[in-house]
Amino acid sequence: MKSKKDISDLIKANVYKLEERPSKKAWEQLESRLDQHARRRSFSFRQIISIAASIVGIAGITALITLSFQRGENDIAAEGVNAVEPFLIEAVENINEEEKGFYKVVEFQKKYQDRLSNPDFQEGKRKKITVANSSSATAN
Amino acid sequence: MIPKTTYVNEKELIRACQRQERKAQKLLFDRYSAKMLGICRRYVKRQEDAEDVMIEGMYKIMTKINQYSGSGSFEGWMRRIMVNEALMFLRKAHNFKVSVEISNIQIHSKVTVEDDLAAEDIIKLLEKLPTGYRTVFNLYVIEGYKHREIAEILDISINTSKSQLILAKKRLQALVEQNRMPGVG
Repeated sequence: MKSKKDISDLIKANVYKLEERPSKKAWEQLESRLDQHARRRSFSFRQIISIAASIVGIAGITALITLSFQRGENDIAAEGVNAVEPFLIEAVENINEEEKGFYKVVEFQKKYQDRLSNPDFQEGKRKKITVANSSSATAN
Repeated sequence: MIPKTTYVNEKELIRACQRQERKAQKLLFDRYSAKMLGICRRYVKRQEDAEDVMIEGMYKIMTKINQYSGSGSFEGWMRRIMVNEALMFLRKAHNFKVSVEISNIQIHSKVTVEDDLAAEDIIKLLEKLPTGYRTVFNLYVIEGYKHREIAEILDISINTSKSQLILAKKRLQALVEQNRMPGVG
């Protein structure tokens, strides 16, 4: 039955009929975009995990280095100035010139180590290097 | 976990889509793509462009589905995304600001019709409207937006929106009378 109607009302009343099947490639296109999206998501998730792991790793290494430094300083501080026994070359008997040179190097190293741990090192506490029986050793 | 192939209700389907299960996404596409393409066809003239807009809209729906609160109608939420997508597409090619403003024009858009109007006839009528007329007509008559809202969405004045609607109705009436569409006369 025909009647006078507003064209807007007529279109509005029938607009629900507007359905159109998309082409087959429509889903394929959408699926490939969804695949890309999923790859990006998983990639970014991996990135977050690797960045977090790197941060934890760097923090761990930094903590280890700091701890080992602190421990070293504490040990040296605990040992104190007199911790390193003065080296007594005079206690070594029958020493020749070559050996005397070697002991001097050892003494120097010990002295250097001592200074590192204690800047206020007192020279006076050190014993002078004197080689016992050096004449007899040279004679031999 | 093995994805399910059937979903008892829409909520379950939405939840599966939120987990990005591909079978659920395909099911959602099969269920709504024709309806969504119908929406895009009302706004976008060329069928190929309308399909591209629909694909883009479905992509957004599926990747942003976690933003759906679950309180309102899911189809309504999807429709809004489709309309936005179509408007974004139109904005790239069309300047809605370039339009003629008219005032105080009264038109009689009543035509003698059967109560029925075929889908093809609707598309044919809308296709013949200029982009500005068609967009405002769709937003006002079908989507139910106010002129103030349309003006904001399209970045035009309220008067431009009103003018476009009047001109759209006038053009539609002329088209119906010219073409003597089946069911319309």
